Amino acid sequence: MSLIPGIAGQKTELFDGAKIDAITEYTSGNGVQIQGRTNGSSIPAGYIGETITATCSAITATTTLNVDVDVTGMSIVVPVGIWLLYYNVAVELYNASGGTTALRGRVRVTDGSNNAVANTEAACQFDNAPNAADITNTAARITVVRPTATTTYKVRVANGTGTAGTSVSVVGSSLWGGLTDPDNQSVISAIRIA
Amino acid sequence: MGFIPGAEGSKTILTDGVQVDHISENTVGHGSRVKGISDPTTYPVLIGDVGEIIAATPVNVLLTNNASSDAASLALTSGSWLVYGKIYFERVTGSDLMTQVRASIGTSSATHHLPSQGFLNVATTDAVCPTATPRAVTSNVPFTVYLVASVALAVTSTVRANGTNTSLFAVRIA
Repeated sequence: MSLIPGIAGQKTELFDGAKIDAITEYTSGNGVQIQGRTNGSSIPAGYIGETITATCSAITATTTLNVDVDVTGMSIVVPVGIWLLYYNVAVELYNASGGTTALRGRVRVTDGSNNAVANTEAACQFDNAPNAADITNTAARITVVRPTATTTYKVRVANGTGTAGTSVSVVGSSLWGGLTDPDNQSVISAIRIA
Repeated sequence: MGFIPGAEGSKTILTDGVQVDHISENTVGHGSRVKGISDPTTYPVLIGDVGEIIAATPVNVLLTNNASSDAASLALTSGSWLVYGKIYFERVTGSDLMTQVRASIGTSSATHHLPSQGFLNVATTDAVCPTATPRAVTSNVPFTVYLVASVALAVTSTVRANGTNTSLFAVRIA
C-alpha cells in the first residue's frame, strides 16, 4: 500500500489516464465527489455518462391480439455495464369499426431474443374511443439494466384489444385535438451509470 | 504532471483533492468503481459534482388553447444532465373537456421536444398529469431547460398548469 506524496490541503495531480479499479472515500460518509464536465465534448464509450439513443423512423402497426411486433428503428445495442434505460413511445390506437370502443395497446422492451425486460411494460389505452378515429397517447418507462454481454434492447408493441378493425401502431400521423402531428417523436435511450 | 508510485497489485491511498482528467480501469472488465456517499446530510453533493440535483419551483401558469407554454424552467450550468418532470393540468373555469394534454422537456422556450413528449388524449373534465420522458441534455455553455405544456380544449374553458403539483428536476450525470 502506497501513499501519494501530497500535502494536506494541497492538490495532488495525477497524470491523465490514471488506471484505478476502485476509489474509496477518504472521509467516512463523504463518498467520493466527482466533478462534472463543463464542456460539451462527447463522453467516450465505456465511461459513465455514455448515452446510446435510437428514435422511431416509421409507423409499425400490429393487429394481432397480444402478439408483440418490433417498432422500426427503436433498437439500441448496449455493451456490458449498468445502464439507466428509458423509452417514450407515441402509440396510435385506431378503431375502424365505429362505435365507442375501449382501445388498448401494450408496450415493452425486450432483448434481441424477444425476452421481456423487467419493469418496462406499459399500457396505452383509451376507454371511450370515438368512431373510426386515431387516438394517440404516449407510454414511457424507466429502469436499470445490467447486461452481462452486449445486448440489443428494442421496443415492441402489441394490440391488446382484439376487436375487428382496431389496430395499434407507433408514431401516428394524425391527432385528435388539433395540435401538431407527432411524427418521429418516439425514443429509446440508455445512459451508463456504472 | 506526476506519476503514481504504487506497485501493481497493491493499493494506493490518494489524498483529498486529487486532480485527474480520466480514470480507466486497471483490471480489464472491472471498471473504476467509485464509492458513493453514505452520509449525505454531513456531506451533501456539491455544485458541479456528479449527482448534483436541481429542482424548479413552478407556479400556476394559464394555458392557451392549442399553444405551447412553459410550465417550469431550470437554469443549468454547462455539463451533462438527466432532466425529468411532470405537469398537473387543472381546469379552472368553464365546462368543456380537455381533449389532449402534452408535456415535454425542451431547450427552447415554449417549444415541445418531440422525443421526450408525453401526451394523452383524454376527454376529461378533471385534471390529468402526464409525465415528460426523462431526457439527457449536454451543453458546453450555461443553458435553460423548459417543461413545456400544451392543451387542446374548447375555448370557453380555462386550464392551467398547477404549480403546486408540477415538478421539474435535473440531475448531473457527468
